[in-house]
Amino acid sequence: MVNLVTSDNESFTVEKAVASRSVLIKNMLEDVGESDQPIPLPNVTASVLKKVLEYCDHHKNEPMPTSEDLAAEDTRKRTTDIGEWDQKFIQVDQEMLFEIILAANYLDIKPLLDVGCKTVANMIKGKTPEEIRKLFNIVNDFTPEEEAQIKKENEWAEDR
Amino acid sequence: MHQECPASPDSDEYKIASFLRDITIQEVIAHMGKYLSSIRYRRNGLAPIGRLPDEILSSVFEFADNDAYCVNDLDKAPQAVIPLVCKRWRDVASDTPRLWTRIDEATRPFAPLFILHSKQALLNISHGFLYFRPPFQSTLSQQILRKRLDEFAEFEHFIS
Repeated sequence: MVNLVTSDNESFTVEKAVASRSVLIKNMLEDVGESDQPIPLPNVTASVLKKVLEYCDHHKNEPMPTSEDLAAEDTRKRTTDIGEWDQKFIQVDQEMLFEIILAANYLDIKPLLDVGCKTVANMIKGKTPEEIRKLFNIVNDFTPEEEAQIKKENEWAEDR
Repeated sequence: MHQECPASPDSDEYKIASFLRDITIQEVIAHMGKYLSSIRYRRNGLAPIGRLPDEILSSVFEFADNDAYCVNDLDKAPQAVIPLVCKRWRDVASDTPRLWTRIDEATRPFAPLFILHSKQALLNISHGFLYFRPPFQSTLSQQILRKRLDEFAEFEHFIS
């Protein structure tokens, strides 16, 4: 069993197979060897770690992605298909979604990072810039000059 | 005696004064525009999605480009939509070479922009659209590239 301590000082005791879905933790365990020392995760809060561990637990028996899988970035990024369980898992509010993505990035859990990025990508697809701004609560921050330049650029596409 | 009256609209004095006034107003408006834009830029950084680092946002954009879109819906292509959302998205998109590697029938009107942004990434050209057209080389390098050379220069100037 592995003991993980979050930034807000909560500790989680999980199976090694679960914790090792995180390449960061897996490498730490390999470096340290058998030890009862808790592993501090200063970048992750308890509520987010709980969610991440839920993912790791569900996928603990799957083979880890090989370096070849990860190197094939191009083919990997050609699909936004998300497994059924993963889809349900990632149905969270935006704040949590981005927290999970950041935690997956920090903990180096590539498949979870991909699920998060695909989910955001699916939110963007087929929308207009204004719809995207509304969805993510961002505003148009271009200066009038930049806006004019953008219009000009887009005229390229019009004279096909 | 008439010197004491306000200058007549035809006098040089009046013309110079109104010219200066207009220039000043334009300057103030431009300055305010830039100032507002910088406030909005910071505000966007505070939105939940603003917390994602550039490399993750870049990865999201790549995922968003995984479906073939039809020619009629080019406006919804991520390469057309994403750069219009806000400054940061625009910067990150133009710094994501793999977002700009697909040159096919649908993205053809954007070809010069794609070639510019794809940098060192390998282009993925499907040339079905070239059947019954002039040879590939003449279509791409002469018709498109040469015709847009000055626009390239302008755009390069804009993004630098």
